[in-house]
Amino acid sequence: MRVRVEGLAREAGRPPRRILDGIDLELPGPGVHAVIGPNGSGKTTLLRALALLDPPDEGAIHFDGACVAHAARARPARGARRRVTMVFDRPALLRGTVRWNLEFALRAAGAGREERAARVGALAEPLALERILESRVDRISAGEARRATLARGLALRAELLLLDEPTANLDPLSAAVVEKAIAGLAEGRETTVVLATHDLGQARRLADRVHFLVGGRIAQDGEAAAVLDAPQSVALAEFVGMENLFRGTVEDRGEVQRFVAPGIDWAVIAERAGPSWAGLPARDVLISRGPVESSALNDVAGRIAAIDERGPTVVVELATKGVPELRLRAAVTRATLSGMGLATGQEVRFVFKAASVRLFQA
Amino acid sequence: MTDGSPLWGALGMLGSLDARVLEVVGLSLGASALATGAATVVGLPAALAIGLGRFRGRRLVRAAVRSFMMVPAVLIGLLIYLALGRGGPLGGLEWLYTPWAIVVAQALLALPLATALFVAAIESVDPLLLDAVRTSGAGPWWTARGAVRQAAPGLFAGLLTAFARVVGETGMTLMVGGNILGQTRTMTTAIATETMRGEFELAIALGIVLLGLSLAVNVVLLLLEPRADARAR
Repeated sequence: MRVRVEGLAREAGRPPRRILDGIDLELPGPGVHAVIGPNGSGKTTLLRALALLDPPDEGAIHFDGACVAHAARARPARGARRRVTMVFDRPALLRGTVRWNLEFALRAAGAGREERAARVGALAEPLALERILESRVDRISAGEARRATLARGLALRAELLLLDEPTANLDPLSAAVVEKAIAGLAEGRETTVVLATHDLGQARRLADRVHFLVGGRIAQDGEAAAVLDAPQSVALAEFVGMENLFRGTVEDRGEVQRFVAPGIDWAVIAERAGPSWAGLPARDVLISRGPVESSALNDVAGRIAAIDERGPTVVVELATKGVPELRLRAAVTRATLSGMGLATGQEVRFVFKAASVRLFQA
Repeated sequence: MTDGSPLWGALGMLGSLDARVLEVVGLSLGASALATGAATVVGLPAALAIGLGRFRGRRLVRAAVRSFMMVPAVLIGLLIYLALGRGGPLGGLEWLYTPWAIVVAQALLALPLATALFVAAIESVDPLLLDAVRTSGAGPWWTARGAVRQAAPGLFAGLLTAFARVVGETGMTLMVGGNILGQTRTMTTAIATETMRGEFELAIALGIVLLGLSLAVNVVLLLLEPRADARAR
């Protein structure tokens, strides 16, 4: 299904707060679209509007070119709700067994007895539900309930499937089962899936396109890797966890541009001068024990203030020698850490290319 | 306690399943069950409309239902008396002083109470569960079915409370039923009559039945409580 959202706005609360503030969104057809963004950015509100559960306060939603929800109408277009289903960020099962819940949804959607049995049967194995199909919903674990809720969403075979944080609070095994089911759906190329997630790894693994939502607006969208690897706003840079972010000014000095801030004077590649944010991904920083001759234009001296080995990579924090003292982070492998014998207090240099510094409009 | 005490006599009546006791209890339970059933048939759809609907003036309707709960039973008795009386608009039915008059009056008494309790039960359902039904492509009928299923313990508790309220009603039942022996004499009116006549055995026997009924209703409500509180996943 092709989905187009035009100027969608939603307000909620008292006094009314604008949760969605003029969303323009185009989902060109089947595939997985991830909506990412910090808490309170409006992801769930956007999904609820797309599910036609809440009418737009402004703007409109189109399915395959036909307007299905409009600010001027309190109710969605007849029959449109049957084309879309939403799986919420917490289990929402009615009193009864897991099978009853699945069948109830299918009966409500008009599926016949044999069709219902076939669809439930087809989902039991991939979502690991065989053991709990006949169990009452208050006797199953939270993870099982989430999988059952997802199964209900998938069983309906809606053209547009909206998944709100489908793996939040799930153990890794359950999360893997759910992700596999979503990936299977993507392979089928029949369903347009919109996935709201905080999990950037999940967005990268599952989504064809990513839409970054902040303050009720789409701040950036595009192919998943392009959006996540090359944030164009400081909000997204912060969200994707860009480790070194500074506010300063870009100065044009003829052949070279410099990013200048208290304690910083870095070579950068900039299109224009003026106030700017600079982001330096930790993985783009090299650590050297002494001065190096290289094409990299930036070479910052300091001593290692901290080494964090908790994550998949080791983050080395440098206290710079400049005034004021700055903290810069570099990500290295454990092999590099032991091979170079890096330790807290050592004098080292952080080296990075001008092109590694991402500039965002201030 | 001596052999001649009214309590022993009452226990003896209950033990021997005395015909007078059975007759009064049967009429009482039958009329009150019918009245509660009628209140449910009308009150449940109304409660679903109030609890699930998003219409203008919904809060006002809900407040109105609650207000009707405060109407004294004797006033309902008066209204039914006037309506079913000879000169009344429904006088042609000739229901006054018949069990049907009791059923109608008790149904009217039970309706606002049952409806208000049904609304509370429906509104206690997690809205996300109803959204989950709606997003299955289901229309209002299926959403209502989902709500009724989820609210079932609360709805049943409302029904029992309404039943307990009407089965214990005296003045109104006396006004519209007439307290005719073998026809419209209910447990409460029989207790009043027998006590005034100084015939305590039957009064105590019926009192024990009422007390047992009240206890049974309370036990069931107690059993329903944790389930009514529990939120499904």
